[in-house]
Amino acid sequence: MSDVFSVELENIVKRFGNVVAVDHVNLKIRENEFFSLLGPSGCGKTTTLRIIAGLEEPDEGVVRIYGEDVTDVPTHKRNIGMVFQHLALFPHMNVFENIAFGLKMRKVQKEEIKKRVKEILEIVKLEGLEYRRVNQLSGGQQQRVALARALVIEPEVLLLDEPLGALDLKIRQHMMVELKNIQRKVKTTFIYVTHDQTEAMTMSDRIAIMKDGKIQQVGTPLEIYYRPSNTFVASFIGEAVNLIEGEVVENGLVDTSLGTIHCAGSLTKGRVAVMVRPEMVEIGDKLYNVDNLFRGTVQSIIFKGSYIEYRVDVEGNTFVIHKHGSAELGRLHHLGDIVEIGWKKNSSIIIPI
Amino acid sequence: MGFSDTLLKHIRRNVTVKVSLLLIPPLLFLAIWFYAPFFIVGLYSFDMINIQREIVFKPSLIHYLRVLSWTGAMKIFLRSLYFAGVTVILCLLIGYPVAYYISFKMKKYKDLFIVLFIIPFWVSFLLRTYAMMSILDERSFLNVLLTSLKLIDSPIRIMYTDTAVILVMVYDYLVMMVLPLYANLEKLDKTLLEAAYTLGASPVKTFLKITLPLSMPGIMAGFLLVFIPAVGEFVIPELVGGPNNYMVGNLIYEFFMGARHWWIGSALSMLFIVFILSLVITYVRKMGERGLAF
Amino acid sequence: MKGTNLFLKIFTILVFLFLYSPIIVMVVFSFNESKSIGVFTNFSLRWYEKVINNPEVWKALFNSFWVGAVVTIVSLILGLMMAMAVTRYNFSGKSILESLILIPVIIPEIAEALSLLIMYIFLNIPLGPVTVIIGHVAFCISYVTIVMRARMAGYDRSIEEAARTLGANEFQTFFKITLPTLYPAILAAGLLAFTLSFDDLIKTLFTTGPGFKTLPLVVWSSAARGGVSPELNSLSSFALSISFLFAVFRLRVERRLER
Repeated sequence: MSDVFSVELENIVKRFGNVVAVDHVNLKIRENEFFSLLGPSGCGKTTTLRIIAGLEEPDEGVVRIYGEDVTDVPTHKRNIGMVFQHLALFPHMNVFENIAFGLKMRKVQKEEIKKRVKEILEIVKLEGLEYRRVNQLSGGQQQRVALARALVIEPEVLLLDEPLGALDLKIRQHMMVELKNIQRKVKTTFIYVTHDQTEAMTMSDRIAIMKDGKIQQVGTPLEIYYRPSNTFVASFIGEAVNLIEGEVVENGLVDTSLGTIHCAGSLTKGRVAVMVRPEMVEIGDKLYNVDNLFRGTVQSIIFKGSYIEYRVDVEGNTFVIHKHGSAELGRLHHLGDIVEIGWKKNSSIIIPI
Repeated sequence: MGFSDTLLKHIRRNVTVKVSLLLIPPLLFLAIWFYAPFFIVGLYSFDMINIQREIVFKPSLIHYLRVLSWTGAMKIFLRSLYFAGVTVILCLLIGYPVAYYISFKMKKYKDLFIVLFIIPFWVSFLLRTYAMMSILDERSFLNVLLTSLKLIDSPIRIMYTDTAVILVMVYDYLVMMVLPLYANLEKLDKTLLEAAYTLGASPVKTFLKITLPLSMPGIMAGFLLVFIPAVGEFVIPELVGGPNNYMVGNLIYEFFMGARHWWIGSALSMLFIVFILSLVITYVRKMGERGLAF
Repeated sequence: MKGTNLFLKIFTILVFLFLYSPIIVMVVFSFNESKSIGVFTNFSLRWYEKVINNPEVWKALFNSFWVGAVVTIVSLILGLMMAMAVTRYNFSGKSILESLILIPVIIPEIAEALSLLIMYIFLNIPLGPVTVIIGHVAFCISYVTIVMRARMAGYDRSIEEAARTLGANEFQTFFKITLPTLYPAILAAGLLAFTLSFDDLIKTLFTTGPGFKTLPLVVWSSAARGGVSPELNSLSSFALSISFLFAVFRLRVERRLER
């Protein structure tokens, strides 16, 4: 990953009436990166994407593509490609014509067009379907046509607006792998907008989490998962998280209603939350070798396939614990059991509230 | 079980009976008061009714031949096609930009403006035609205004000319072009335009290659809704045109009410009806069932 | 881009002006004191006095209303029957039927009107209000059927089945369930039928009997005879206000129905 930035957003602000949809967003996206904008509906991620595309004009701020200030450049003059949420395939054209459209606009020669369309169809695995009408294709196939259409023009940046939303689960999972492969193959920056963290975590090199128009955190999937920068990110990412409020006593020690908790070192002071992921918490009749130890009652047991989810009540606080590899059913706890739960100090971190 | 119960049971069981009960009154009405008159006109056209109003079983094409061989009739027919054609084209050229502007460029008030556009058309066809008459007249306000502003030397005389007829026809029929166009443009997926922009198409290219082709159904519907009634127009040429601007409608009227030659009038009507029906059938063939969805 | 937008804006404004000016000028000059239709001298109601004091106008207005009412009722009944047959049942020949319904909408009115007149004369039927009403119903049925079909598209028949399970027979179901549910469709179709009948000229012109005039007919005979005149301006403005009020009423009703 080089330090050349394909897209830079400097202090972008966009208002719709009284609502600030994009609130002083700053981003530096590297070239050839698969970068996702992730967040709940209404967080401003789609608006941010559209600003990069030029479909919305920012009220303040600068947009740069490969160093060039494109804030005032209209969409059709920016060298971007975009895959829309509902695909926006031209209904009055067949597959070939849809894909060739961008090339025609760039005045590419007929022979060259034919060649490039053929190549891209191979990359997206749709060979032979050139002359079908787009409404005769399945959802997954239409998806690939939209992708091919945007890629064939060899844009500097490819923007994708929740493209996998309408697909069935299995096809979606398949497409996620496909998309990542294609991105590596064509060596283009992909900027991907979604509300689905599985998509973002699976495919991205880095993710920017947004809420209410502001960027909450930018990092790799690992960083975001294990080192969330605030409680929103901690709760939004991952299936579940344990958060306990408290006051920092000294570096790595937090005073909470459950007592003093030992965490990984941190410079944060004042009121904080202790975060520990469910799979990092051990559960058992008797635990040894943990830095933090609590006793509680099993409230619920849910079998989730590759792990069991326990909810344990400790003095009014509910802990979520994921126990993997419980093939031996004899080791299961039961409702109402008194158990011990705990974790090593480096498994929990301190995050500001 | 009484008679009425058995009858009801029979009716309930039998779909054909139900449908017939529902369809017979309206169809009978239409058969007698809409289709039968055309049948009688048909008889007249084939010379099967004589002056004593008796039906004679000796069909003859003589009246058709007389109509078809009369150059005057052909001239008037071509003139009707010409007037209707020019009207449709003008309605399209004027109506498309307006429909486009309201649909695409007006976010907040588009509903209001489309209603404002339709308001003049709530006034009946006749009254609108008359309103245009009072503008086109020599002594009209428009003429007074233009002469006093020294924009023209003497009042414009366009009453009883081709131009007057076409102008009033455009005025009267404009809405029939704008409404289907507007409906079509409203239904257009605007993200298609955004996709075109991202593919490098300028706004002009996007309009020509995406918007225009996709608004064809609206254009065709508008064409049909204007051209067909316009060809058979009677009121407008009668009020603002003279004998030199007669259209088919006026000619048919003259034969029936003026010359009272019902045979030729009937032949002319039948020919005209066949022409209209073939236009509609061609349109339906081309557009399929979707074309009639209004 | 910005230039095109401005052009489109100006163009649209000009078209609006084009549409409204003849009507506005006509109304303004109906209040003119002098006989001129070009120069406005003074505000005066003299032409309106002429119109209002003309019994022919009131008679014609009254005729237009009651003919419209009768036409509306008859075409609603016949049109509803046709619409129900077409939307509820599938039968052979349905597509031919649909064409038969559409033809009155397509055929040029002058041909339709003259043909009906010919038949009236051929059958020695005396002309008068009844012949006018019949003529109007003949094309209104189609419009009513088309409008009702469109609005009946989402109609769920299981409410009728529910009524039947609760003990209602066919007639009760129809009058207590079906009709009230179809009320918006019926209203929309009825308003359309009334407007078409009220404003109709050509059919009426040819199928009416001596002495029986509707409002459009009075306007027509004055316009065809004498051309533009201040009385006709006032008469037209008067007729216009009625059409306009009715159109506003129609819009209000339809808006209320949408809720």
